[in-house]
Amino acid sequence: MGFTAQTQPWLKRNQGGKGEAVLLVHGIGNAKPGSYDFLIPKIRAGLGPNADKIPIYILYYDFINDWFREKTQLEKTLGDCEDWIQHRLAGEYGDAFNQVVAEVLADVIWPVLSLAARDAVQQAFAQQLQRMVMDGMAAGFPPDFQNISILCHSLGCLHTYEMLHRCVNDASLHLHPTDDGVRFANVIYMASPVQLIRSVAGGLGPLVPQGLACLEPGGLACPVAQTPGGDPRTGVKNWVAIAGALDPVGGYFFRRRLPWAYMDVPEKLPFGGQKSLIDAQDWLSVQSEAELRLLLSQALAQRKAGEVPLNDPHSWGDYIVRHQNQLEAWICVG
Amino acid sequence: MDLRRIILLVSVLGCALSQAASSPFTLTQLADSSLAADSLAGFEAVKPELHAKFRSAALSLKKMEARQDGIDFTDILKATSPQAFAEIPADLGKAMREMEFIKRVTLNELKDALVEKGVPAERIISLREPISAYQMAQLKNAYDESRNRLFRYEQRYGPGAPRLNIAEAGLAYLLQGLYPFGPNRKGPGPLEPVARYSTSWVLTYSEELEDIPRAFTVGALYEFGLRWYWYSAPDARPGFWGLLKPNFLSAGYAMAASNRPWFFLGNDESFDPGFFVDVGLIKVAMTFGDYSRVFVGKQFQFIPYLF
Repeated sequence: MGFTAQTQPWLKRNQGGKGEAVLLVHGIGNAKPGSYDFLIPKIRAGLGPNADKIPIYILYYDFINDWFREKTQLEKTLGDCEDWIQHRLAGEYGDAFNQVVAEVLADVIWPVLSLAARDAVQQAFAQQLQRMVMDGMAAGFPPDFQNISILCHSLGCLHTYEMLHRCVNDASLHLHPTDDGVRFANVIYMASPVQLIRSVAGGLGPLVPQGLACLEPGGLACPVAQTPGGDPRTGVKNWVAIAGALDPVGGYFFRRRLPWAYMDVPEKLPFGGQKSLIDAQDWLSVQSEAELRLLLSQALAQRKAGEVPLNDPHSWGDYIVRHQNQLEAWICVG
Repeated sequence: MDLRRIILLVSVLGCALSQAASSPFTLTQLADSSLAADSLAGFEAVKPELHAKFRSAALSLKKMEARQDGIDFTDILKATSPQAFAEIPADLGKAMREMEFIKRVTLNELKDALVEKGVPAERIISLREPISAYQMAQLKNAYDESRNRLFRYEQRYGPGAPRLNIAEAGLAYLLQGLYPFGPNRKGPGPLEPVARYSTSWVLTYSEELEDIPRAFTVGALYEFGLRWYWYSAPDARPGFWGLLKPNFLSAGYAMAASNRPWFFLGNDESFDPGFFVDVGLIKVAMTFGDYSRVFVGKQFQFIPYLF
């Protein structure tokens, strides 16, 4: 068996536990168990005095993409596609941008075009959520008293968006907001390509098999369910979308918002709308004028170009660090 | 009749139930605790219509238990798995619906009313213990089901699964919306298309060549058919015969060049029709024409990306 959902003990109420937990869902790349462990201290640093009371889970699902890549022997074809895309765009926007776009397109081929790949990732995702809810119940917190937050990045935002809708549409998972009381306290999207994928996959028309929530004709939405009394309840209590001004995956291109690529889930009762945060980003990792002066003087002294470190506008770690002091307010119950 | 079916169901599930952490709660306890929460919240005044339905469902559950000699509700729960659904006696189906309704009201309107009334969270949670036990059992079932589904995907797509060439991948993409090919509520469908040109066959017998050693030569065949998967559960312990049983079997139509077995482009050459069968990694094919021929092979491709 290739996948086992992570399980962790939650603190009980009499131990100071408040039913909080965090799930991290990674994005593009060849992620293996352990690849994102470096994020945990960064997140804990933002959770203040509650840091050690909150279990943090990480969902690693990239092995499923590997299954499908190997099954269809399409690595070479995908490589050709990436080369072609990079070649076509190279003249216009530069290599760094092309690389990001090409990787996104290649990585989303499976969940967009293959029903099986899409469902397999959702089964792993569902297992992880079910396990978290059971861990919380074992500590004495029924699902509707739990405060589970999801922090997702890049392609993980698509899987999270789809999973949230599946929780509402597939009663057999027992992750339903009103039938099972599973409502997520926070979903924090970082560099979400959900709208970008909606635009690209929507353009492919009938080539994309049905069932993607992000392609619903009504537009992007927070999933909503009805109580037995007919009251609508959202599946997510606090929906946050963070994009970087230089991160094309999140829908910004050189500080300009691209409406066809930027995820903006509109207010629609009972959903109060998403909290949109745009990070001001810089290409160069030079924090001050003095630092720049130092770099230039070093370059002059050494008579060669100084090495100026470049920022990765898509870095998940940087997104988390930039919002460290908001994590406590979002994730920790007062 | 109903009672007999219940006994049968319970006995079949008995082993699983004894291993699972069985709930100490009964339908009556679930109903009573719900009614206690209902009166504590003053639910009648807050949502009179919903209260009436809720109360009626709880009382109906109590009556049901009296009539059926105290069924532990985990029995009902076990029967919620899709495979067993057809086996559920009518009353158990009704009990499930009542329990679901009670659970939904308890988690939503009744909880709101209790919170509004200032009832502390600890008290609400303790009142709802039978509901929580029911939810925990449901989640365990759902978790096992998700695990089973993912394991089926692993058997079909994971390491060790047969690979698809470009033509087969294209066909699989086109057919994925049809039930036996694409995903269903149990995971991947059982069927996969086979469409390949394989050069890895060995001709082992030809009616034309009486001398068997001379018949041993490389063979090439076009194959068009279907592959059928037998999915197993992640924790299944196969017996001796189970170990021999392959995870998949393919069969279909085969074509070989009439004049020479080793290469066949299909231009103006004549061909011999036949059939092929793959069981696990072993392949056997037979073609008919002027002379019958038998080929054997192993599931691999000499030339990558050639289909």
